[in-house]
Amino acid sequence: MMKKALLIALCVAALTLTGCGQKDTPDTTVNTVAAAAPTQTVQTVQIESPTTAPAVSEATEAPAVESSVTEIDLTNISSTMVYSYVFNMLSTPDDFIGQRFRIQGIYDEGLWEPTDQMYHYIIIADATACCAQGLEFVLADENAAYPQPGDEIEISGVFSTYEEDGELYVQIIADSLKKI
Amino acid sequence: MSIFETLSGYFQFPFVRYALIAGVLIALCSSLLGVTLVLKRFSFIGDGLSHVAFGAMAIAAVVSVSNDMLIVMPVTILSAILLLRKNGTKNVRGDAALAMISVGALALGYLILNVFSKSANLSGDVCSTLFGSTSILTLKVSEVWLCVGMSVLVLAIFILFYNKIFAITFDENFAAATGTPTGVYDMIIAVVTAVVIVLAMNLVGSLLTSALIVFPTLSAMRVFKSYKRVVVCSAALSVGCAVFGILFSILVSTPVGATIVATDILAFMIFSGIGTFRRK
Repeated sequence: MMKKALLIALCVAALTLTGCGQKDTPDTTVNTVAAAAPTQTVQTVQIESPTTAPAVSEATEAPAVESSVTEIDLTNISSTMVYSYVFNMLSTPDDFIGQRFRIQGIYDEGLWEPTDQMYHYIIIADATACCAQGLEFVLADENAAYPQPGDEIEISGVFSTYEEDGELYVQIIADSLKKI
Repeated sequence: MSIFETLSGYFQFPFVRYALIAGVLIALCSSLLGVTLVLKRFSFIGDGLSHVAFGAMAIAAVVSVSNDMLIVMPVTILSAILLLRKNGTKNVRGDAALAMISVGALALGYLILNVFSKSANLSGDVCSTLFGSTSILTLKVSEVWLCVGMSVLVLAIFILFYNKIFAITFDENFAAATGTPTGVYDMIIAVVTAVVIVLAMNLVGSLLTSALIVFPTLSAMRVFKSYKRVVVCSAALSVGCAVFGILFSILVSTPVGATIVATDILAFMIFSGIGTFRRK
């Protein structure tokens, strides 16, 4: 009985140690999201082994300023991972505010009558396409045209939240949109 | 980019690490439970209880409980105790009772969700709950800790009461004759079964939970004959298949639950072949 109790204690200690470590927090500081996001030099970091130097491609939308933001590219990972990542973004938005993302999905839009506003979404489906979730986005350039519903698009922008009628919503302020 | 570099990148995401931790623990507990249930000829109890848990989850979703475990766990435990207890005379036989409860809970749960649910994607939610396509990858930290706590409890029970569980599994009447309180241990097994089933739904979904319980045990029994070796082999096999299934599904974009079960089936075929070869 004593041996079994000791074995259980060792297992508990081992499992407790798995919880040790720093809480995962985003590297970038929380930026106050402004509509004028495009004037930044962006480093696109693809998901790679930490032992190798990450491939970096720059996509400059406008004259560079001093700040640079690391972009999380969700276009080159599996659909299962993308769905799970977006699910976590929607579940715990505070962990992702201010981070820049590049996402692919299907464009859709809808008019919400109580506010009489058109809302724009990028729909991300899982591997079997039975589960899907929409992530609202707005274009940083207010004069830019939105695509047609059903178009496959890729957007790049900053994740943020906003309040409307006392409710908290999440959105991506996209400074780049292209049809695929 | 090589597979290892890709996986290394994926491990940067916390939800992948959470999925592996929870998946390993759930697979380990399921395999230990599976040995007892298969030998006691209760292989299909996982299916029945997972359907009951689905029905309870539907009720929890409709009444908007903050934590659906508050409803799901007690309902499933109660059902497990009612189904697994030994009683003398019954109006409804054990297997028929299991069938009634299983299909009834599934149908009523789906009906309740259709009529009362406010979800924007009902079919997606139901599909994910039934087949576990991405459930394990969408766990919150609190859910992972709950899984860890429950798994430690299940493991502790198996380690502490290993000899008694062994006796009750092989000859319950003899165990009772020697003074073992078999009723108490039956209830412990029932509670542990319910806890493991509810946890396993996160990994493989409601409809595939039985596979997690049955396949590792049956595979181990193809090669090994002693109880201890079957338990150890079953545990190792279950954990290996779960880890492989999770990693394969995130690399290749397949549903996680079905991939794990397919891996279990492949392992069963391999072990069956090994067992046949050894007998010759």
